[in-house]
Amino acid sequence: MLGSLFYKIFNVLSVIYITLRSLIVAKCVMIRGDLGRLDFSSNPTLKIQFIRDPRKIICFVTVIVKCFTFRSQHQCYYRSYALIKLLRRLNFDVNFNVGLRNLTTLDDPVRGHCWLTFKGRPVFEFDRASLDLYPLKLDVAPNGIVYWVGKNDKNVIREKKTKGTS
Amino acid sequence: MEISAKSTFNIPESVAWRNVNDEIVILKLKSGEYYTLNEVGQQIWHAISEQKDVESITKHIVNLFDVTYEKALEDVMKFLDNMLKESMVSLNEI
Repeated sequence: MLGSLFYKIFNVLSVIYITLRSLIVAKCVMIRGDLGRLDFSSNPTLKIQFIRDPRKIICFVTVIVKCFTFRSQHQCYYRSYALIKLLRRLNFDVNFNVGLRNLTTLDDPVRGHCWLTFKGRPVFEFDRASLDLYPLKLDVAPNGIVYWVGKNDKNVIREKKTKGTS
Repeated sequence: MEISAKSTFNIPESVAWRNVNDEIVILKLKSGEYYTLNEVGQQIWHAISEQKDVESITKHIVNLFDVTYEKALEDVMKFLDNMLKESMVSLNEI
């Protein structure tokens, strides 16, 4: 009984520590503007023990990230990085994806999104339709980040209208 | 090493690029920086990827755009210099 309680408390504290540390690293990398510095390796000396339901941990991490980044426009980036650091410790081989669109137009601002994939399929994405905005895979960086690019928003709207009328 | 008329260039593996919306998007994989090129830059980039030398690139630009050879050469050299500084291309040793 005490042992079980100890592991629960240990897991909660570990998750909080991992998440906050990830947020600090992610913020530093964002300030430097160099995604190549993101590291996705997991620290083997700090494992989370006896997890029954990873989904509870994922929800917990999401809440922590939202609390600390509620004013940020880059929540997807922080959330994805915090989750990947956690999930790699749980031996889930997820991948970090970055997409940008509106790169070739001055009419709309450049927009982007970060998300995770597992075996090629997006995970923990509440708005899967937003991933359709980044259909073109560019390449995979040495640190494992998968880069995508999307069309300009106005072109996408025009194509949809054309399909709708044809 | 200085750029000469017969210099050719390589696009390193750490640089990825694709045609998007009839324009070119370039990505430096190490840093995650995205770049886009204007119309002239795209022509130069395509020529670089085909291993054309500086002289051929300049003549290609002159053929496509209403510009003198000297002006085209100046623009091409400036473009290549910037690409070299950003490590987006590397100079082939003759």
